Amino acid sequence: MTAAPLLTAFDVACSADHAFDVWTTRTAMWWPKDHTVGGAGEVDVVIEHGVGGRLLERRGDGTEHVWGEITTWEPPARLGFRWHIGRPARVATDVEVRFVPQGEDATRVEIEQHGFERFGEEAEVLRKRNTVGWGSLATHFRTAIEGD
Amino acid sequence: MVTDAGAAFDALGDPQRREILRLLADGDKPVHELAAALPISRPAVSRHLRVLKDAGLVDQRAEGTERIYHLHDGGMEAVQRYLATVWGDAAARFRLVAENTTPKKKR
Repeated sequence: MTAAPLLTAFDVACSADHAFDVWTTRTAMWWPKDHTVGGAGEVDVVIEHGVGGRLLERRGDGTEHVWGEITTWEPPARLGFRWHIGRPARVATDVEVRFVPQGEDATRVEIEQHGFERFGEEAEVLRKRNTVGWGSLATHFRTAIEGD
Repeated sequence: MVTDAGAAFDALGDPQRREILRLLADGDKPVHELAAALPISRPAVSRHLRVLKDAGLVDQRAEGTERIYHLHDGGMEAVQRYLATVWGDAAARFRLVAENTTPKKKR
């Protein structure tokens, strides 16, 4: 039994090089600060470059919360990581981010999150009890982007 | 905030709580039945149930002197809403930063 992966995509008006660079080196500039373990406040979000690198938040007091580890590092095309923000590492999901050039200054960013089955079969059981599937997330996502 | 909307995620991270959800998926049960099926004490089961209830994954009703627990239908929706918010916010902000910063090499 597997829970369906979550797929989201959006276009950004810059090169894939720049998109990959912003994603991985200026993470703190765009990652929503309230979506962190410690919440809003003084926080740096760091992605350590290369396979095995950690994704983490560093609080103002020096406390670190590890969110996951890099599993794929192929700049500027592909970035993969195990993702367990706020949860134990063994219930991590896998996230892959692809930067697909659409011309000189346009890039399609595709985010695929899978491995939800690691939450256990109950995820599927609970999902079946709902009419809303994982797929509806894409709709929410597009709404969020277009509302920007 | 992870500790808030992500409560369902945290709740799913514990093996005993996942087992409780599995047991409840088979049918609604009172606390003593859950405790009998698990290798943990009844107070421990009650503590897990409180976490699951706070996360919106289970709910309870009173039947006589017993409290019967059942899966809450909106539980997975809470997880989905949380994920949609996280990626939606992150993507919108990412686009804003990427489109309004200069590539390093050109500076």
